Amino acid sequence: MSAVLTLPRLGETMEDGTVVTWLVAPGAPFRRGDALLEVETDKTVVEVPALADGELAEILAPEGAQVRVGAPLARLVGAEEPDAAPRIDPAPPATSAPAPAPKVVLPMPSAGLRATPLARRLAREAGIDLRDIPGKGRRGRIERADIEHHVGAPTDARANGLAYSLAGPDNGARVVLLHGFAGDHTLWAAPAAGLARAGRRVLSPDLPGHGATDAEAATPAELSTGLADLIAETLGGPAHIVALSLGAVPATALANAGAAQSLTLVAPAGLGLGVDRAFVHGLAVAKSAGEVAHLLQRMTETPLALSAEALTRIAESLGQGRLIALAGAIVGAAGQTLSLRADLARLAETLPVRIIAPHRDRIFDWRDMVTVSPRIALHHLPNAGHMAWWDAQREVLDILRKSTEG
Amino acid sequence: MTQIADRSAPTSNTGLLELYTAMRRIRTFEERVGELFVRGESAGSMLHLSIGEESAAVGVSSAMKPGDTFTTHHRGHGIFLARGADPKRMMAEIAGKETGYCHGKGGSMHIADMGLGHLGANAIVGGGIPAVVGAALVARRKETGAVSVAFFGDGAMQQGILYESMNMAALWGLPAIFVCINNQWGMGTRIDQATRATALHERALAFGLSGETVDGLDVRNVQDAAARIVDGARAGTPGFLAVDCYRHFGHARKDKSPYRSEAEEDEGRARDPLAFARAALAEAGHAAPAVDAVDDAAAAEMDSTIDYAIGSNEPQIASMFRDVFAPGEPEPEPVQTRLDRVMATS
Amino acid sequence: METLTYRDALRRALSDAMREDPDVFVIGEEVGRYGGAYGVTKGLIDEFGPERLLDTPISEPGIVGTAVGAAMAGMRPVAELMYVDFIGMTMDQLCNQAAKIRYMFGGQIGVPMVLRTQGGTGRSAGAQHSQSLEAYIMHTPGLRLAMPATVGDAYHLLRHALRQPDPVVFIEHKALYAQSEDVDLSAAAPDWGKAAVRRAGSDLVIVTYSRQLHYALDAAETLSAEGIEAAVVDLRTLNPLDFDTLRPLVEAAGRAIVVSEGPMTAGVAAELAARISEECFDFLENPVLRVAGEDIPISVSTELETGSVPSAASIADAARRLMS
Repeated sequence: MSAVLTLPRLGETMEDGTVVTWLVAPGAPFRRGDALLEVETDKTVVEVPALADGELAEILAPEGAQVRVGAPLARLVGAEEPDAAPRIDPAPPATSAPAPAPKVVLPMPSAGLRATPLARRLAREAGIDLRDIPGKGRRGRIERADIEHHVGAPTDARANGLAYSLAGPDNGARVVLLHGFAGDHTLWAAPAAGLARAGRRVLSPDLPGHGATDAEAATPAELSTGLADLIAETLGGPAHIVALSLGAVPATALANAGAAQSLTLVAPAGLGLGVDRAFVHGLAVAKSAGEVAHLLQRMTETPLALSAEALTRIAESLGQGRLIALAGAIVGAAGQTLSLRADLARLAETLPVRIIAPHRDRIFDWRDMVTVSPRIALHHLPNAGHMAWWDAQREVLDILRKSTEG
Repeated sequence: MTQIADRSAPTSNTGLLELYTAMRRIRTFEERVGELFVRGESAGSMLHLSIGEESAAVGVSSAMKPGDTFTTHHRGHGIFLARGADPKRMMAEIAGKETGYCHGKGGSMHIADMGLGHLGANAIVGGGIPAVVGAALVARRKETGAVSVAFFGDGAMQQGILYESMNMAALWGLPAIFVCINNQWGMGTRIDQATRATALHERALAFGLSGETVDGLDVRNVQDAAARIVDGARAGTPGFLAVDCYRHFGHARKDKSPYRSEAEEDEGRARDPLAFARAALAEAGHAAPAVDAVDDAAAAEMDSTIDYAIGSNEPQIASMFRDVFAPGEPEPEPVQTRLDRVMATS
Repeated sequence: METLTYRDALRRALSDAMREDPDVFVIGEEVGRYGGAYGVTKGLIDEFGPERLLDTPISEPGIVGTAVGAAMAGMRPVAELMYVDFIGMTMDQLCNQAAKIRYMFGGQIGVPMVLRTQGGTGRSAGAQHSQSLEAYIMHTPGLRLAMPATVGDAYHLLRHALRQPDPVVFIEHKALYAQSEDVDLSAAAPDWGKAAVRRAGSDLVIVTYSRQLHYALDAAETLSAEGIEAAVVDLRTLNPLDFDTLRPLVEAAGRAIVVSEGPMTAGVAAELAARISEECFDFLENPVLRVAGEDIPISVSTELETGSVPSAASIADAARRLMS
């Protein structure tokens, strides 16, 4: 039996060795444990001993040869194989690992942007591109508040012929904002953004006959057309209804239909005879930006803050004459034709109903707004005009936040 | 006067043949350890063989009793075998296998067995010495009658911890024994290159211990000296014993020891306690075949240790996280697990 | 209820444990007749005798090594190291022996010993008697590490330590020994390894331990007056490290400060900051701040010493920067 003696690894860092001396001559016998040769490693000179009795048949690596670990040193006769001992494999042979799937490295669109980890996660979850968000944190860093503000920004859409804006987190408390005569949802922009930031899911539609909504409204009842369906579709359930002025009419209709969790009416119509007839009829027929500016100034105690472009846009919209029929329907020879008093008194027995009464209102008489059922909560704004949040922004938003909780 | 028999027969009366047998088993075991390394089956290259030092292990051990405890240095295979270790489990431990004394976690330099009183081999020079002071303190407090023995090499003679330990043992009169196996070489430094005070036992005397230096050539000398030291320690005077011998091979593995001369090695290896004992046995009338039979039995026994070690399983990878703390305590979280967890939520 | 000092509570924990378990004994320099350099063991020798209040020579490695052997042989030693600064002397016995014996020997035996010591600044004790070296210990697998900040914890953590199956390094703070508190030691002990939320707050989380807890609480009070509400977490033990208590607080607040008296680099605060960054990354509004000791030795000068380590003011300052 012959065997090949190979260079064993004689130290954990050893990769090769140099044969220094053969201690056994070819043809010479040796005994188990005898040193066969000396090998110089990276650390020291080591003797390689025989693992069994035998005879050195042939030297394969002469003195001075540099040999890799595992390379042959000599042929031995009579020596058993160095690893003849029974071996119990500790584990089944490793199966070759499947070739790794080609890895697609997604580009990181927000790379290089300064944003906090929290903001990045919120943006990721909301499907928002960070590049669309202005960072207002330190050194322009995008922070949580910036994302929430962005999430709160409205998306404009249209359903069932109604144009609307939807803002705020999906899981927020549901709020519907209804504008008044001759207005549209953009008048609610400031309170809508504030409520969205406070976590509300805010729907503000253009009522029939108004703004970008195609459907017309010749009667007060028609102001509610399609609203309940829109609320169900976009919000998925009853909502806190907030309404300005004539918006109180569809708001009350929604509450009567069970679509309201609460009612908050700002300078509501339908509570008294008194009304600024010139204002209503004027808006119905106004065609110039100047007319519009003068009419709108009646709604606030502070100088009107609308731009020339905005006034022109409103004038163009009103100039279509969509509101003439409605104006005639809501204001009769003596004054307001509608009364919501009985409905509101009844609703207040089961729903939270509140009225925000601006004392400087020139369209209605504020005293009509406060002589209501004692079950209706009242908020007095002594210095605000009809468009209450233009004059008392902070207070109105605080009231709306509170009245739309949960 | 009534002679009260000891519970176990006094091992110090062990006959020379038994002493020789114990020494031969050590030598053959160490030779097989060397082979295990050459075969690439040992778990690492940190193998320190005690060939040439067998009389120290066997002589001192023969003066010890069951229940006595001990610690050893990194060259401690022989001591553990002399104290009754199973050579199969030792070889398996040296190979880093599951069946080893420490399930492959300790290896040659960190072998231990509480059942045999082995409080652990140590890879820090002098590191295991103070533990015997603690063990001896407990033995005295609990009145077990046991002694505790620290085995170490001449390298440890220059470590401060030895003197702290001897001082406390003497101060408190503990049954502690300090055995220096002086093989003349601390790695590549000869004892006289490490100290001017080469009469090692004198240091122990200075601390108030009993102390002797004995020539390890004749195991019977070691046995007698050890018996004196052990008896003294059991009676409350800790002791020190230096056993002079020679490290026949390199520091670790079979390194060629270029730092010492061939002449010195020849002379040192000639002072072989096994050859000496064999001659003494012949002189005492033991026939050569009977002694050869001892050698053959040792060879057969130790051959089987290699097969056992190689045939044993590697430890399961999961055992890596076991025994950092006591059973029942949460195991450390593997780096990979942690990475998976962090990335799963990030 | 009774009024106890931190020192009293430690002494009470030792004496209660020694009465309950005859295997518990104290070994160290000046622990017996002198009563401990900081008086923790004062008077215990009268009840338990010199064998259980074992005075040693000045041999720190020998003390710890003897404790290791005694623990392996079946007793429960409390080795006292007068200053944590001396732990370097004992590193072999502590980190190579005590910490590794269970593991190296395949689980055959543990080393149930407690190494009591004290550290930190506050006494003008200089560079070799004022350090906070807990990171050394925390970096060594196999060692438990407790650092009580309150009188109640001084008692309960030491009692817990004396029931652990593994070696515990117990680091007291030298500036806390005289601190007193009304405590009811008979009340249920807090769980071992569980951090304490010492103060609630939603704006940021201050994580700390030992004396810095008190600075963190002072800082939180100051911040509260400015409208910043900080939660304060006392880790109590650094091994085990209770991240589960910490995680939800950091996730809710999005901001965290880690306070440690030890040097900043590669310290306890660094480890915690790394973990928070890894595990709470998606919840962070700011980088996790480390407020830690300067990377310098401690001076004797009170001015320099105080300036070397965090204070209530520096913690509050870091919090304000985080919130601005």
